[in-house]
Amino acid sequence: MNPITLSMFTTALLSGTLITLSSTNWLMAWMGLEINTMAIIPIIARKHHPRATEAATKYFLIQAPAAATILFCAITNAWMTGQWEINQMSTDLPIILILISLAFKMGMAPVHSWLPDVLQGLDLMTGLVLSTWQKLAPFYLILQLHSTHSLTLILLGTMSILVGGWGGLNQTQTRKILAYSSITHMGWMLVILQFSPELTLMTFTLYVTMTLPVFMILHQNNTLSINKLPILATHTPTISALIPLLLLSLGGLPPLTGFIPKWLIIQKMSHLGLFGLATITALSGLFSLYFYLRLSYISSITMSPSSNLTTATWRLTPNSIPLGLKTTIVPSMMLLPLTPMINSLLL
Amino acid sequence: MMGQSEHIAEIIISSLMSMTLMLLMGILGFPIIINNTKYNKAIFTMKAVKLAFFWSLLPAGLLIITGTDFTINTWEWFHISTFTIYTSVKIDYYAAVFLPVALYVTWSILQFALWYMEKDHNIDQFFKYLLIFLISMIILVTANNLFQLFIGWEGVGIMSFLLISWWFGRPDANSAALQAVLYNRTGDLGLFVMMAWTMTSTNSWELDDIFLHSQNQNMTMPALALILAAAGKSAQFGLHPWLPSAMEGPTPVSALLHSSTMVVAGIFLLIRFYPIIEQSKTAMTTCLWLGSLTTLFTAACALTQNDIKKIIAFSTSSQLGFMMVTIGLGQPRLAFLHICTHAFFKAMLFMCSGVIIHSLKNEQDIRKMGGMYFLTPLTASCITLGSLALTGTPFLSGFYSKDAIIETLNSSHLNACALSMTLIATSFTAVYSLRILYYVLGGQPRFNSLSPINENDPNLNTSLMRLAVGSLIFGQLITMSLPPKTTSVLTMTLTMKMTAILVTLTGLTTALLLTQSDSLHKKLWSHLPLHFTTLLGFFPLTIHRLLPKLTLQMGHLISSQLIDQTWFKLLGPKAILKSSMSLSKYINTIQLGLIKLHLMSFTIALLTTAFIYTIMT
Amino acid sequence: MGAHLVRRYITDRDTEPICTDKPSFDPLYGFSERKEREMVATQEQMNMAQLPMDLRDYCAHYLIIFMKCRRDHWPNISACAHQKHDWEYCEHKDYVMRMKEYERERRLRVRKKRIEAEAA
Repeated sequence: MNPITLSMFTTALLSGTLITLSSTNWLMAWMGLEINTMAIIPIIARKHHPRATEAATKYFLIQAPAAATILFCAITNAWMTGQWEINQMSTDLPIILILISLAFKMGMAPVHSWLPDVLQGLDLMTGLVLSTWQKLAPFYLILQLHSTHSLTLILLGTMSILVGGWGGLNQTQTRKILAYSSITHMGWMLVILQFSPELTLMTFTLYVTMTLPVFMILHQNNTLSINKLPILATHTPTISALIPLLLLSLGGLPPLTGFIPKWLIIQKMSHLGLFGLATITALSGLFSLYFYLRLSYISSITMSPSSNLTTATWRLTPNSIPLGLKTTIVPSMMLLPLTPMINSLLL
Repeated sequence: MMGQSEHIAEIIISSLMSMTLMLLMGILGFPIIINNTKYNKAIFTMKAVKLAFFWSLLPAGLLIITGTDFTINTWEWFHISTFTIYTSVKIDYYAAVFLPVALYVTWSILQFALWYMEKDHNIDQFFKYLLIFLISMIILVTANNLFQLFIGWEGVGIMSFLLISWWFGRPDANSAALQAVLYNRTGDLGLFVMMAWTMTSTNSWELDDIFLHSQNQNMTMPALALILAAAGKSAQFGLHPWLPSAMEGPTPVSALLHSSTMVVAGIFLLIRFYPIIEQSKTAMTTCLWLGSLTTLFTAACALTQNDIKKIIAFSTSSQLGFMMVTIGLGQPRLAFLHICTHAFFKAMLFMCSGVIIHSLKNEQDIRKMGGMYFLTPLTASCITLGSLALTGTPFLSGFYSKDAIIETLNSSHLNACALSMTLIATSFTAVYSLRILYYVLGGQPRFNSLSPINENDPNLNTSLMRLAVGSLIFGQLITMSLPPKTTSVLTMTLTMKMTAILVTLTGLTTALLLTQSDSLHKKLWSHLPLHFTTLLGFFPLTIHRLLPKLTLQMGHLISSQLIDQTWFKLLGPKAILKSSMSLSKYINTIQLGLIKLHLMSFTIALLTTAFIYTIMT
Repeated sequence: MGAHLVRRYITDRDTEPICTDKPSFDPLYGFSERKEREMVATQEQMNMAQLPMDLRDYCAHYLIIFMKCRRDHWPNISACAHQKHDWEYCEHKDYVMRMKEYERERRLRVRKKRIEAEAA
C-alpha cells in the first residue's frame, strides 16, 4: 500500500475515534464510529490475501448494522425526547439496543462470534489495532451509558468472561486465543462498569498495556499457532524467559500488573456485597488463566525434546528487541507496586 | 550481730557455689570448644570430666558442712512482654549430691570408652557427644526454672538420639534411635502442657514461684502432665519399649544413658516437682500404680530375655519403676538416693557386659557364653558385685536405698495391691541377676574357642574398679554424711524389717529350684507366659506393628482412593475438564466463518432483548 | 500393710479411724494421771539450729545435739553414731506412742459402738 494512502487512512482512523471521544452528541459520535470503520477496512485489506479480504468484508458487514442500529436508536431517542445528548438518554429500549450494538461492535458475548473469526484473518499488528484502538470509541460510549441499565451490563459482562474463558480453552491459534482474551477482559470491564467506571477505565488501560507486548512479541516471531511458540527460545531467549510472566500477567496472577484490575474489581464487588457475582467472575477467570498457563508452558516452561545443538540458531546476532516492546514489557509486568499511584491517577 | 555474720556467711557460700558451678561448666565446656588436633581429644575429655568431678565435690562438701538448704543464683535473661525468663541456678541437696555422682560415673564410663571405642574412627566426636549429653544433664539438674530445665531435657533427648544411632549403618540402631525420640516426644507433650499451664496460671517459670502459686489451686492436671513427661523420659509402662531397644547403641552409651543420666531425668523431674505432685492424690496414686506396673512388667520381661544387654536394660526399667513407686509413696528423697546408688552399679553392670561382649567377638546371647568366671576374673567379680548391689544385699550401696524404700512401702497405708506387685518385682530382681551370673559366669564355655578375651587394659581395669568401689561404699557414705531432712521409718516388726531380704532370697531359691527342675527336663509351664515375656507382653507387636499398619492402611485407602482417585481426579480435574471441554466445543460451534451466523446472533440478541423489554414493561 | 485398709473399707467401716484424724475422745479418759507431753527444745533453739520444719517435733532436742556433733566432728562421719542413735530411738518411741494412741482411738470407738448397740 502506498505510504501516503496508508497515512491518510491512519489519520482517518485516529480522527474517527477522536471525534467520537470528543462528542456529546449521538450524531457526531456515530459519525466518528463510521469514519473509524471506513478507515480500518482498507488497512485490514492492505495485504492482498484472500483471508484478509474476507476479514475486511466481514468486519464491514458487522460494523455497518451495528452502527445503523446505533443511529436508529439515537434517532428514536431524539424523536422521543427531543435532544441528541449522549448522557441524557432517558428511554430504556433505545439504551438497551445501543448497548447490544456497542457490544457487537466491540465483540462481546453473546454477539462476540465475529471477533475470533476476523482476527484470525489479520496480521498481528492490525489485530493489535483491532483489539485495542478500535475498541476505544465504543468503549467510550458504553462508559457514558454506565448508569443506565445494570442488568444488561452485568449479563453482558459475565457472559463475556465465561465465553472468553471457555472459547479459548480449545484453541491452538494464537490470534484466536488473543481474541478470546480480549473478550474476557471486556467482560471484566463491563461487570464493574456500573459500580465504578473509573475501575473500568483503569482495566481498559491496563489491558491495552498488557496486550501490546504480547501482540508485538508474537508479531516479531510471526507466531500464529502455538506450535511455533517453542521456537521463541532459540530466536529471542530473553523474550522467551519473559513471556510466561507477560501471559500470566494477562491472566491476572499476583504479583504482576494483571493482578491490579482483578484485585480491585473483586474488592469493589465484595465491598458492595455482591459476593455471588464476585465468586463467578473470580472463578471464571481461572479458565483464561488456564490457557495463558498453557501458552507459557509451551513457550518456555518446557523445552522441546531436542538436543542442545539445535537450540542455538545459526545466526550470530539475535533479533534485536524493538524499542516499543522494551518500553511496554516493563509496565505490563511490574506495575503492581504502583497500585496506589494508579489508583490516585484514575480513581 | 549474729544475724549479720550469718548473712555474710550465706553470701560467701552462695557465691562460692556459683563460682564452683561456673568453673565446672567451664571445664566441661572447654573440650567441646577447642578444635586443636594436637591433643588426643578423647583423653582430654576424660580428664576434663575427672577434674570436674573433683571440683564438684566442693559444693557437695560445702552443703554438708554448713547445712545450707540451697543456694540460688538468678540473673535476668530476657522478657516476653510481661513474662520474664531468668537464668537461675539452684544448688540444693539434689544437685549437690547428683553432680559428683554423675561426674564420677561418667568419668569411669569415658575411661571405659577409651578402651571400648579404641578402634572407632570418630572417637573424638563420640566423646564430644557424651560430654554434651552430660552437660545437658547438669543443666537439667541445676535448673531452677522450667526454661533451663527444658533446655537440659531436650538436650538429653536429642543427644540420646545421636548416641543410640551412633552405628548408623545398622538399621536396628536407627529404628531404636527413632523409637527413643518418638517416645520421648510423647512424654515431652506433658512438659509442654506443664510449661503452658505455669505460664498461664502462675506467670512464672521459676520453680519457687510455681510452688508458691500452686498452693490454692487444683494441681491434678499439671501433676499428671509432669507424670506423662517423666513416664516418657524414664520409660514407664506404656512408653517403655524404647529403653530395651536403645541397647543397639554402643555399650558406653547404654551405660551412660541408662545409669545416671537420661532415664533418671524423668524421675528427677518428679523429685524436683514433688511439691506439686504431692498436692494431688490422683497424681500420687498414678505414680504408685504406674511405677508398680512398670517394675513388675519389666522385671518379668527381664526373666526370659537372652540378650545380656537387654536383661540389664529391663532391670534398669524395673528399677525406674521402683523409683516411681517411691515417689508414689511420698518419699522423693529415697527415690533420689536410689537414683544415685543405682547409677554406680548399673553403669558397672553395663560396662561388664561390654567387656564380655567385646571379649566374645560381639556375642550378646547369654546362652552362647559361660565359664567367664575363670577367663575374666575381674569382670566376673564386678558383675557379681553389681548384681548383689542391685538385689539389695546388705551393706552394699543398693541396700541403703532399696531396703529403706521397701521398709517405707511395708509400713505405708497405701494401696496394698500395687505394693505387693512391687515386692514381687523385687524378688524377680534376684532371679534375673542370678540368670546372668549362672549363664555368663558359671558352667562350661559355649563360645568359639578363638575368642580375643582380654581384660588387661589399664583403662578398663581402673574404670571398672572405680565403679566397684562406688558400688561398695557409696550407700554407706551418703547415708552417713548427709544431714537428716525427714524422719525415717524406724519402727516395725522383724518380718517387715526382713521383707526386702526375704523376698529376694525367696526369688533366688525358687529360681535355683526351677533351674534344677529344668535340667531334669520337666515341663512346668505352658508356653504362654514364656511367649508373653519374651515378646515383651506383645507390646511392640501391637503398638509398633499393628497400630501403625492399621493407620497406614487406612491412610493409604483414604489418600489413594478418596483423595487421589476421587477428589483429585474424578470429581476435580476430570469433571471440570469434561464439562469445560463440552462447553468449549459448544461455544465454538458458532465459529464456522459464516457471516450469516454472526449477523444472526446480533439480530437474535436485538430481538430477544427488545422482546423481553416489551414483556417486562 | 493393708490390714487396716481391710478394716477401713470392708469390715469396720464406721469405727476404723483415718490416720489423719485427730483423737476424738478425752485424753484423760481411763488414765487420769496422764500429763500433756512437754516440748524440750524451744522455738529459739530450733531456729538457731536451722532445723527443717518437718523435724521440729518432740525429739528436736536430740536432733540439735546430733547436728552440733556432726558439725564439730566433720569430716569424721562416723563420730556421732551415739547421738544419732539417741535421736532415732526418741523418734521410735514417738512412733510407738502415736500408734498406741491410734489403737486407743480405734478401741474406744468400737466400745462406744457396742455400748450404743446394747442400749438400743
